[in-house]
Amino acid sequence: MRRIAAVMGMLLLGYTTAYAEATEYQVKAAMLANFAIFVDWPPTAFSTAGSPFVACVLGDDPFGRLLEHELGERVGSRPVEIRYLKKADAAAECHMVFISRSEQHQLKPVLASLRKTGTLIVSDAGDISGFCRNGGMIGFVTERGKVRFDLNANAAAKAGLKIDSKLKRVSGSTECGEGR
Amino acid sequence: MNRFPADQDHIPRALKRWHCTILLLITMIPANAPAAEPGFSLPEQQMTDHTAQLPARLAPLGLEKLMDIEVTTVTRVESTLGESAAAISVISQEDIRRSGASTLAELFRRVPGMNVARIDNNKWAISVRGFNDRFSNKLLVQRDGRSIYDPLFAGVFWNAVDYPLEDIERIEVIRGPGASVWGANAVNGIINIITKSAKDTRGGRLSGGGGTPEGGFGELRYGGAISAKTDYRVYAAGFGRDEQFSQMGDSHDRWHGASTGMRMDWRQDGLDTVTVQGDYLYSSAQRQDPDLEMTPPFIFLLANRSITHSGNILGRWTHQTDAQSSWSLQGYWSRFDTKQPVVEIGNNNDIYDLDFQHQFPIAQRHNFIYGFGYRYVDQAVGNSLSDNGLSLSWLKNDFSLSIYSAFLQDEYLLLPDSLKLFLGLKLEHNDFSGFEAQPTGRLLWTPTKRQTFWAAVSRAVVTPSISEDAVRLSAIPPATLPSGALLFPRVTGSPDLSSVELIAYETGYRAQVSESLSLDTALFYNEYDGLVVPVPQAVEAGFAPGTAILPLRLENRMDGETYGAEIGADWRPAKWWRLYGTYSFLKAALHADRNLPASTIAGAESAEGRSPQQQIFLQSSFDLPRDVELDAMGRFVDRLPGFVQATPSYFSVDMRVAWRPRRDLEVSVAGQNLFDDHHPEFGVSSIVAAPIVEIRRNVYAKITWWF
Repeated sequence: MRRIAAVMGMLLLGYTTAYAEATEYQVKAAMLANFAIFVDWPPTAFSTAGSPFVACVLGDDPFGRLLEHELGERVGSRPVEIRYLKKADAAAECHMVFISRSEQHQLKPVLASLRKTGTLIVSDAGDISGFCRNGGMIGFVTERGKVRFDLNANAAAKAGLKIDSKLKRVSGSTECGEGR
Repeated sequence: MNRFPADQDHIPRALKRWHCTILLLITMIPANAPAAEPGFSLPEQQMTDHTAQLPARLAPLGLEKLMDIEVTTVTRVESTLGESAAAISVISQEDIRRSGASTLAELFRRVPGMNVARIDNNKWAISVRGFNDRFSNKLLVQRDGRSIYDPLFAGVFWNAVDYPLEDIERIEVIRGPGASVWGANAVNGIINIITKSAKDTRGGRLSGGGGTPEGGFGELRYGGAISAKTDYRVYAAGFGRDEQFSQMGDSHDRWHGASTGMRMDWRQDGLDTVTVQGDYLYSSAQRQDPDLEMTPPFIFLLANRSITHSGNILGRWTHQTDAQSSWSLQGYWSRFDTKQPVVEIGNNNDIYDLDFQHQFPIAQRHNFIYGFGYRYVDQAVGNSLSDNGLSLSWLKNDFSLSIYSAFLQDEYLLLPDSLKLFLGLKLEHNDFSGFEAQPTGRLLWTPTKRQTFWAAVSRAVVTPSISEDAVRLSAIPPATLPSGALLFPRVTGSPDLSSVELIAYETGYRAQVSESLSLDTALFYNEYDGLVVPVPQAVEAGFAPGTAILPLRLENRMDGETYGAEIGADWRPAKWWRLYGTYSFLKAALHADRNLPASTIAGAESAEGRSPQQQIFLQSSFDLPRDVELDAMGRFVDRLPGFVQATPSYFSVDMRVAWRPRRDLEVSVAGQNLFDDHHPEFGVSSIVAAPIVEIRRNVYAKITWWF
């Protein structure tokens, strides 16, 4: 028993450095912040040069303060505004909508009401292939403890969004039927 | 939603039953994010909760680096079980990996209230809350909704159960009866092994390794997408294990086996999921079998092997009718065939099972679930041919059994958000004991989000098994009568047996003490009625002149109580350090019929001392720099005085170190029982005499490559 305690003690004292590990939703929030950079919105999506970039969370909020934290104060030159929505019809002014898992049983109607010009639709709810087929654009997939994402570039193009080639390159494939 | 692990959200029936969102919570709640609240959450609220400490921003790392970060999704397992009105433990894939265990059976050592004793290399005695035995019959074990216990003795042949451990999503262990849902034999506990959906196992994995006495093993898995809606995986695995230790010389317990299988998952719009899966398993396990002779020492133990082939095919269709209701239809066929060549004993069965269930809300406060099931068992059992059935024969060799069942349960929200009542009833008809009614009532109180109290009263039954019905087993050396004749005791099954009845009283408390510490406690008091005792009957004429038989007829002649407490704590003092510990206390008091002979009473009541009174398990898990995982596990198991030769208590240390030099490569070294050469974990079973085997120190290395 004493031997084990000694081994453990040594291990404890030796290592307290930082680790490449974070909570799932911090990583997702950080990825959303990156999407905001690698996607170009059409000029019509903003009423004035100074109007804010509106990021929305639809359904139960899984981020807490993390989304605000990761997005920072500005996207490009625009101030960031975060809205928390209960219903999809309140999403008219959103540039980016994250659909929470609480909405997974009604993804289809939610997606139908979101389909409009200028909104990037992201989710990690339920079945990503169904999400993409119904107009979802970026679906998060957690595999082997790591978050990746699948991209439906067609749907994004239809909404007038320009996706940077870097985003296309690092996106996964399969679920949305395209990508790498 | 349903008992089956529906792929979309993996909600088995019990949890659904006892609370439908538990599993969703398990898969969804991130480590430090606030639990998702129903409805609208105000950002201001979140701010006050979290202003204290925000981690460093990750966004500047860029997408590629973000994709390489390990996310901690399932760190608060204990607390997410907060809303179930039963004692539930979940063994996550991470727990499985970090345990260093190489068999399913060994995984259960970490679960409070579970009794796990390795009898030899290929045999285990596993039970929940007492009555541990190699042939324990009060535990229901299922994989992906398919029962894997054998109808022969209503228990599990652990040497014929295998699955690639890395393709298991999680294992849920429910202590206490779940008979109102799962039916007969879900008496002391239920184990649900849930494998990953094929969409979560894309790509290849090749692993292999070896050690001593672990032997050598290898495994190949490959999965992929057939279309946007359909995924599949296939696997093949094989192993050969060396023997353990016996004071009597050869322990006769080498074991090798191979398995292969597939799983396919199809889904449509998140509303329909269809799963088809099948497996084939081969196992050759050394053992010793009794052979009866008319000359001293009468009972010979012959070195033998048990050769098993088993296979199954299962299909399941789950349909989500709307946000709150769903139904599920499942059918499977399984075949099990085992032979012991030298003494020429064998048994085989085909099982066909069909199950339907439907759950839907009624009004605002009720969630209603009902289901039907039908199971047909076609079983053949063989007499021992080497000694003309002297050691083992059956009153009847072929059994065709039907089990019909129906259940319903209402989940009634008494007070919004804080008090729930669950009422459930299962009705079942089987060919041995006829109709059985198994009800339960459960109350769940969640005064705050971080605390849960629950209490339950249930009735459950153990129905007679084929063995208890018809076996004729002579495996005990004869006594010499005053006349000089040899008297052979013979365990004799009886068609007159009734079910063993359990009334269980349980209560539990769970608390999320802080972000990093959760506690789970349970207390139980079980009352058993009609436990089975081998009762001496009038002496019968023997196999040959000068011999006589003493039938030991199985009768329901014992009552008993067990009570105990289980405590589990999960503490994460730092992001890279987790401590997990459990303590289990169990006490059994059995009361055989006082009219029975004293030796019979003593023999029957000795089962009191075959499960440990106290057990402690402690695991310390470290995530070290450079992708190194280190785990150390210590376990104390109390003495087992219930055997002729008591099994001493033991303290055992297991460890595992794993290193991922690359994202697609892992190298690990694991060891069990590191500070002891060998020790026994269980005594000699009363039915079949064999030498005690001691479990050796085991060390092995393993390499895994993903492609």
